[in-house]
Formats: sequence, C-alpha cells, structure tokens
Amino acid sequence: MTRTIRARSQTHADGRDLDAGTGYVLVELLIAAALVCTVIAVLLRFCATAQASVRTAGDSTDLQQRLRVAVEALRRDLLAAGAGLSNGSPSAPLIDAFPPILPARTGITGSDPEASFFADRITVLFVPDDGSQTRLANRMVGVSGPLVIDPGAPGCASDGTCGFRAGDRVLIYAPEAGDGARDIVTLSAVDPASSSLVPAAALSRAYAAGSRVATLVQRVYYFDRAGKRLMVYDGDRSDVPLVDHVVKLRFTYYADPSPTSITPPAEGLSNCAYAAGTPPVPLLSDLGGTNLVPLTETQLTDGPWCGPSPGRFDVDLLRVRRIGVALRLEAEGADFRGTGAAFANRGTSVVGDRYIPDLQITFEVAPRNLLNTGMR
Amino acid sequence: MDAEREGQQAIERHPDAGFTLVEAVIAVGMLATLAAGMAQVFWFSARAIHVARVRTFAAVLAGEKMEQLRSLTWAHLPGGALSSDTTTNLAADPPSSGGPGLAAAPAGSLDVNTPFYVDYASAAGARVGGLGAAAYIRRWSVTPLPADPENELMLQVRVLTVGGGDWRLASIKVRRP
Repeated sequence: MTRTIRARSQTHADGRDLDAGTGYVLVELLIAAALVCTVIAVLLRFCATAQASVRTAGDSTDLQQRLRVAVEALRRDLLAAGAGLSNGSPSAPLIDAFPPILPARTGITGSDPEASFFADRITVLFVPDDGSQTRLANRMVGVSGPLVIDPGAPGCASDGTCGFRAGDRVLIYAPEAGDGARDIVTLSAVDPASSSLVPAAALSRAYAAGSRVATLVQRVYYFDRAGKRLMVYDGDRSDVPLVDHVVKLRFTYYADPSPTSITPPAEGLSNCAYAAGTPPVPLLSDLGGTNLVPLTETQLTDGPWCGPSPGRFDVDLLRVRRIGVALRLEAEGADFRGTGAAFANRGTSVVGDRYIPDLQITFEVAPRNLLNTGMR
Repeated sequence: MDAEREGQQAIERHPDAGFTLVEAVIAVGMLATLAAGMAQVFWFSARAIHVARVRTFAAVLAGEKMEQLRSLTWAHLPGGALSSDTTTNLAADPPSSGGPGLAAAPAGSLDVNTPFYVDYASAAGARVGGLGAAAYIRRWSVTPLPADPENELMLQVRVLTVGGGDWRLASIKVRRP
C-alpha cells in the first residue's frame, strides 16, 4: 500500500521530484501522529491531575487553617474566662460573684432571653491584664448616675480616670453583696476633673462605694447555622464571622459535683449558692461522685436562680470547671465533598483526587480562674 | 577544503529529514522524566498537608489531656489542709473514678504504655479503646517537683503517631495557701 502511494506521487505539481528521499511515508506519519497523541494525552492527564491536586491542596490547607484559627480563638478566650481584678487586694476571680461563662448570647444587640441555654453559643467574660481597674469612691446617686471612681487605685493611670476612655466596655459588680448583681455597660463619657465615668445606659442598681469597676472583654461565640459560620460578637457593635464553612459547634459544660465547690460567703451571710448559717448551707444538690460531670440543658435551666432580672442565671453555672468544645468544618467547594458519614453536607465529588472529608475535633479547656474556687 | 565541506555536510541535517524515531523516543522520555519530577512536587505538597493535619491533631490532643490534668483538684482548703484528686481515671472516656488522679506516675509512663497513663485516638482524633485502631498514642505523667513535692507538680503529655511523630507538652501545677 505504501509503495503504491509513493508510486502515484512521484512528482509534485511544480515538477519537483519527490523520489529523492524527501517527504514521509505513511508509517512514519502514523508513528509520528501516535507519538504526538500519546504525548498530548500524557500532558493533558498530567495537567488535569496537577490542577486537581493544586485545588485540593489549597482547599485542604484552608480547611486545616480555619480549624486552627477557630481552636486557637476559642481556647485563648476560654482559658482567660473569669479573670477578675488583679490589682490591689483582695483580688478574686469573677466566678466568686457571678458566672463568667454563659450558654447563651449576651450583649447590647440580639441578646438571648435570660437563663436560656443554647448548646452552640457561649458568652465568655474576663478582665484583661492591661485593662483599667478600680473601685467606686462614692455610692452612685442613681442607676443612671455617674460612676465616681477612685483614680488612685493600685495600677491606675494618673489621668484622673484610671485610664478609662469613652467607648470602653466596663463591668461594675459588688461581690460582697452575694446576689450575683453585675452590669456591663459602654461608657459614653469620662470626666477627669471629677474622676467620674458616665454609662451609656442605666444600670440595674445604684452600686455602693467599694464596688468594682473594670474594663471588660466580652466574647460571644455562636454558630450561624444558616450561614455555616462561627461568629464572634463583642457584646457591643462588632458581630463578625470568624470562620466560614462550619457545620457543627457544640459546647459541653463539666461541673464539680460537690455543692461546696463554690466559694462560700462569710459565716452568717448568704450568697447565690449558700443560705446563711454557721457554716453556710449549700443550696445546690450533690451530683454524686468526685469526677467532673457534664451538665445537661435541664440542669442549667432549672434553677436555683440568682441575680437581678434580666441578668438572672442558674447557680449551677458557678460550678462549671471545664468546657468541652466540639467543632466540625467542611471543605469550601462542593466539588471536594462527597457523600456519606464523612460529610455533613453532601457534595459532588466522585473521584479520589477531589475528596476532602470534614474535619471534626473535640477539645477541652479548664479555665484557670474557675478551678479550686471553693477551696480558697 | 573538500574534507571540510564533507564534514559540514555530515553534520547538517537535510531540511526535510524530520526527527528519527530514536530522537522522538528520547524526547518523550525526557518529557516523562520532567513530568515525574513535577508529580513529585505535588506528592510532597500532599504529604506536607497531611503532616500539618497530624500535627494539628496531636497538638489538640496533647492540649486536651493537659487541660484534663489541670482541672483536677489540687488546692489548699481554707483550714490549711491539702485537697488532691487521687481518684480520677483520665484514661477512661469519659473520665471515671478508680484511677490515680494527680498521684505520682510510675517511672517511664511517658516512654511505655502504662495503665491509667495512656489512651488512644483514631486518625480523626476520636477516642478508641486500644492500640489496634489507634493513629495517636497519648501518654502522660505526673511528677512531684523535688523542691516542694507536696505543692508543685510537673505535668507532661506526650503524643506519638504511628508514623513516628512525637509531640510533648509540659506544665507546672502549683497550689499555695
């Protein structure tokens, strides 16, 4: 066949002789075509695999990074939960007066009803190390009245307002009262001349002289189910997503079973967890055993109650000693998610090189300021 | 001159000669080698991502055990007596009674799997009952510090992976009147 073709094609149209070894035989053409096809096929396959690999690597790395960001943010704030005033004496954690961890969203906007429980929301409160801290120098003249503070308290800046600035989020509480009262407000103004702070809203009561005043960090972590996001809210105006493509967030509250694990009042006095007596009489029941036990939603919403409305809380929150966090994230692209138990939300992936299972992690944090509280 | 011309003709390729099969095969071979080299880059990338994931889980597992150890009672009671948890079994999931709590661990509990001082987790970080299904081995120790053994403890957690990874976390737990 090859010979026949060559025989018929001995001269070119312009008369150039093709018999002199120029041109290609059919076998050469076929081999060349096959080689080119093979090379192109290999290259295309390689490019497709490389592209999938690059995208998978990017999504997989992003998934892990989002998990690390969420874990670090939650761990950092949970570890600090309950830190109280650290300057002057006596210094004590917030849990001696009220629970610094709540299973709900609190703040100026979108606050959950008091005493509610949500497994996927948590409020964390603490006084930062570098924050302003002092006490009220005088009793407030009214619930809206200015807070006249001691500008010379240990650690105070010498500016007449102990470093407080308009716009600061401030905690006011009176641990000696033993009734769980506290207020968190934003300062609308400060007056160095009179060492007074003006709250932007009325407080729940007119606090007595000696009540604590400090800048406060408030963090609310909650699961935006519709947007599949872990959100963080500062209790004021900032309410922003921290991590995207979250498919599960669940908090577990581990409590000391002993009712005497809560700091008792002085003999003859009462507080949220004890009736007056000598010694004070615990109000909470013993949960049995000696190990920390996870509290159920019922246990955290059945009382006894403490604190003035609308800031009432279940007293069981005062014996929380450890927080468990279950977090699950998914790959961003649906084409990297498949079907089955490895995926909370099914995707379209059918091949192995585009397969990124959900990442789920469970970790626990024992806030240092919640430990050994009944033993100090 | 003739010899020089002949030599030049010998190395000049005829304009219509194309490539020989051997040349083409060599070219394809070189391309394949290059592609294999590139593929190795992706393999290394995938490997690095896997290692990062293992490290993340190992760090979280180590931190979790440390938090469990730190949450055990270790305090001075108001009257001056000492309160120490010496009953919690942290090797159980969830922690139960019947364990050593913060009692001093046997020597070598970080180096060999010692009852009450070891537990296991799967590749997904979930607790598993035994070594067979484990991707992570978590060991810990509690060591009273010689300077003040009644009040100061060194807590150590070690997480090993079946792939040979080894991560350690240490902390001091102190109680003061």
